[in-house]
Amino acid sequence: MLTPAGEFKFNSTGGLIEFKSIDSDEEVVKLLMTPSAAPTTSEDVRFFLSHQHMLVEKTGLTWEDYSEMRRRVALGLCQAYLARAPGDDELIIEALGTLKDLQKALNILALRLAQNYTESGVAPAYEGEEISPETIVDTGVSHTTNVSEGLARQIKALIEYRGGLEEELEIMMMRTAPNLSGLAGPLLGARLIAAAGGLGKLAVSPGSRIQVLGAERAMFRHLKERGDPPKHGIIFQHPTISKSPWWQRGKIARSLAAKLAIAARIDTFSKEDRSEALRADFMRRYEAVKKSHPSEPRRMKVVRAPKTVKKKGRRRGRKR
Amino acid sequence: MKETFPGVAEIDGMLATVNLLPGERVYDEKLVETGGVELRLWNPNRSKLSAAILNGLETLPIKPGSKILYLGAASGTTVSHVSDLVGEDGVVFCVEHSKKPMESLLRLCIRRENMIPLFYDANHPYRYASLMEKVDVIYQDVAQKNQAEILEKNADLYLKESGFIMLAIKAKSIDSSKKTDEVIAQEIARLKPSFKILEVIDLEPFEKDHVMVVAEKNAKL
Ligand SMILES: C[S@@+](CC[C@H](N)C(=O)[O-])C[C@H]1O[C@@H](n2cnc3c(N)ncnc32)[C@H](O)[C@@H]1O
Repeated sequence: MLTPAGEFKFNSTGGLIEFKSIDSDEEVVKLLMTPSAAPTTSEDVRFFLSHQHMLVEKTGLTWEDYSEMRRRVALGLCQAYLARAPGDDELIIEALGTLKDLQKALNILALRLAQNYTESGVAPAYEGEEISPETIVDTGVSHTTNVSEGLARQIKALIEYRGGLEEELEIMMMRTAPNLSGLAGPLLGARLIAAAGGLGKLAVSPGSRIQVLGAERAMFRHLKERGDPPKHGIIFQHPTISKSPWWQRGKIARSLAAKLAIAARIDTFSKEDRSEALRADFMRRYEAVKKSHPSEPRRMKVVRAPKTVKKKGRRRGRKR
Repeated sequence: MKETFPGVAEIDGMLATVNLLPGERVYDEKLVETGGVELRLWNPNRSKLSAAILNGLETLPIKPGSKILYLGAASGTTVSHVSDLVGEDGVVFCVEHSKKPMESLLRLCIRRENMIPLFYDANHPYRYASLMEKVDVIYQDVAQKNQAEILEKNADLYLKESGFIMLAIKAKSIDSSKKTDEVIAQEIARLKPSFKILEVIDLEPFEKDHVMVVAEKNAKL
């Protein structure tokens, strides 16, 4: 159906560097590639747009032939770019990973900065107070070393960058997965996508799997050494679970995970935002759990009490 | 049936456009035939432009033969009707930066010869310059915080003198903490240096907290 316009070549960063047309002469190709292939100035672009008809005429093409050629180049380029473009969920995973490492780096740098201050003793104003990079950077300490000042500036820049990235991640989540974002919150939603390895994979996961996503180590321990199975993975971060007493958590987690599974499916297959209804459904279930299990059950204590030394040989014989 | 604008029909309170590709549907719209012409019903709950027309829009700068730059084309629901409106002699340059909607949009562009897909970020209008030309109308529906800036950059490069803009503003995507009216007033104020505001249409009950703004580029001083 689509007549290929020719062959495209890209550089390692995805920029178009070459276009081999199958049927038109070099001048036309050059014209079609003009601003986007080579770095050009804004004057070049403006000149191109305001003298386009003349430039096309010079190549000997009619405007109709030129437009047809342009359309085919656009279709071909679009197809080529699509083939190499990361999906929205991949961008989300990338941003999330970057945020995580950024946080690690900031922790190390902030510690270094605080150490510089305490060791050099040039920040008496902060005695007794916790020295955070924000306080150092923002209050502009007067006695400071060059090294610390430079470091503080970089930390500040990184903190700003982190803020922007968090915002961007949130926007991407609201757009790509409005239902997950509405139910779990954008950040937890993103973590679930990352733990599953993509939105599509999350959408085909049953609730039982979503419930323990991110608790793979506990699950493995459970299967291998027969400890308790994990009741929840990263969804534990959801306030309805983390703020509930331990005996309610498993039930809430199960119901939240089931709703999240539905949310992920809607996000993958229709994108229609039904998060309000999903959240209302879940909250009803949540209230019901709270109501029917108000106090700590006694039975669990008995199970937990005897702490005997386990031996491998005996374990093997136990029932699963 | 009556014709509200060139190429736009109204049948029993529903809008429709003349199908550029008779027999083909784009989303789940209904096809109806009247007097040998096939029309595609235009759902105001799915398309803000349809909602704006139903809510009394007076100027529709998108006409047969118009050249349109459409920013935020998504999978092409509204774009397909714009493509019907401009017809064989018009062009719709469709900018969309998200992979998934672009996959459907590309399929649509392959079928509809007046549509050109541009898989780019509208924040960087230079990147698609070689595939563009000057246009009569910029239609923008990107639902982004910096939508005013995106529009400004694109209009600066691509909008003809005395061209028009049609801008869907979603208050929530700009600032969810402020009141809708405030956000909209602030966004409209941003347009004023470069554009003459012609109409502001509320999209209730089809879309909450949305308006459609129609404006004309100010003549260069
Ligand atoms: C509300 S939807 C548009 C719906 C469409 N106008 C319709 O009525 O069928 C917004 C679209 O804008 C796209 N978008 C947002 N920011 C963009 C940008 N900077 N460049 C290109 N597309 C963008 C999004 O990917 C999304 O598909």
